[in-house]
Amino acid sequence: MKISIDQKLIPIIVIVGGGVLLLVSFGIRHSFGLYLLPITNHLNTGREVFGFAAALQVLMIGIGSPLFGALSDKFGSGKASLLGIALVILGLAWMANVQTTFDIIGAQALCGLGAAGCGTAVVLGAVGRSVKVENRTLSLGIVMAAGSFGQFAVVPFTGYLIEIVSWSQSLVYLSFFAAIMIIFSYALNFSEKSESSKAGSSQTIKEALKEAFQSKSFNLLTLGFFVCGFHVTFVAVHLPAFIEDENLPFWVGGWALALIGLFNIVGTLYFGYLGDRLSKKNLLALLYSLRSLLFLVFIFLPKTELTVLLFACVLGILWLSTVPLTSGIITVVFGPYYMSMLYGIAFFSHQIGSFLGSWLGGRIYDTYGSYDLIWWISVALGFIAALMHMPIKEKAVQRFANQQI
Amino acid sequence: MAIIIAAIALLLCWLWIEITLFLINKNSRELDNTKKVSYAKFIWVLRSIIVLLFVITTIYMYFFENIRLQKAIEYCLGIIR
Repeated sequence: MKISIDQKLIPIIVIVGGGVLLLVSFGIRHSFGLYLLPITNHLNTGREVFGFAAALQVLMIGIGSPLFGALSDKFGSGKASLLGIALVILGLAWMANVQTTFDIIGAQALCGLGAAGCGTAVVLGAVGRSVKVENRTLSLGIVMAAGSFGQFAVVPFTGYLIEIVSWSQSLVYLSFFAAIMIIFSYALNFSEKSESSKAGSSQTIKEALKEAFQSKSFNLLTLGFFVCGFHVTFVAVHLPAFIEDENLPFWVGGWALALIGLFNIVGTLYFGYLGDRLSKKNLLALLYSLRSLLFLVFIFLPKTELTVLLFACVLGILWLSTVPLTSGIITVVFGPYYMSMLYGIAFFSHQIGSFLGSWLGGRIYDTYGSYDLIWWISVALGFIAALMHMPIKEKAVQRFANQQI
Repeated sequence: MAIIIAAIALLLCWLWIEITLFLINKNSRELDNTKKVSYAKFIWVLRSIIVLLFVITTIYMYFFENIRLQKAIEYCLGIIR
């Protein structure tokens, strides 16, 4: 059945569909931590098994992102996300019936792969293709903000669900909740009907990959995104323990994390808005520098209630704001046609950074008994990332520029 | 006390957002912004979001157990102890 639709409505449909998709998928993915204790108790194993499964899930998102990105660019974002949703539902059903350690590892890997299919690479690609260049970065920021909101709205809801029904039954309900995404994935199909989606369509995947890897700008952007993953995961995993070590009142940890979450939503919109008005690569350089300065100030500043909460607010603004800017640059330079795949590759680098940030943080703390060294590494990496963004050329490659004329 | 300190931190940070957005809007007026989302519209949406989220968080912190929210947010951020 062919549906004809007003070109003006396409961006709104895709943004709403993509926003809901990220809200649900981010929400479900971040709820998995709640199952650590019940599943560990059920399997009668140590926490290491679940920890390994969760780490594998994160890695699978990174591996799956470029793959689903390529599928999305080749066969359509709607179809790629539908496959991802199916994998998430299967993974959740498997997780609800775990009997062995293999089950939990397999279920988490499946959920991770599926989450890549209905995650940022596919959704941002669809949004990037649908919206006009004037408001593109803001639109990418809006869908990311919806995803951020999902993290903070779905998780407490899942927590209550586990309390009301059993953990196993709650996973069944969660798979019904995931099924909501099927309806909204249809909206992503409209991205192919937009006028701006045609740019760059004459290129093959192989040619697109070759062009991207030969581009200094793409390589620098991908390396910079590694630092983003490193910072975000290190702080997320180790900040509560760091606050506890400083002997601050109990309520500070809760409020600090709440303010990070709150300003994360605002910050993504804020940088999305700025990205349409100022140079995106300069904003990214500023963002990474601000992160380093923030860490630097935090190292030297006395840790009081107010300084910790201020740190949390500023950190929240800088938290996921890199995403609309990074994906925005990819669209500007290479065009929207292969954006999902190329963003997926950059995101893979982000996930490796995430893994290292989490692991090195713990390793250095265990070795030296303090987080000082890892804070300094974070400061240095931030400034290096800022410098790496300076030579990025934020203009279309020759092939795409010729097509635009 | 907790809410007052959190509100001060939020206001200080919000001040920074307001000032930077105002200055950037002022300096980019000469560019062709007709097709872009207007500054006035955007800033009011952003203000509404921050007020709404802060009120919800405060209510939750005040009426429910702080530890429950903290645990939930820790899970959100991928923290597994």
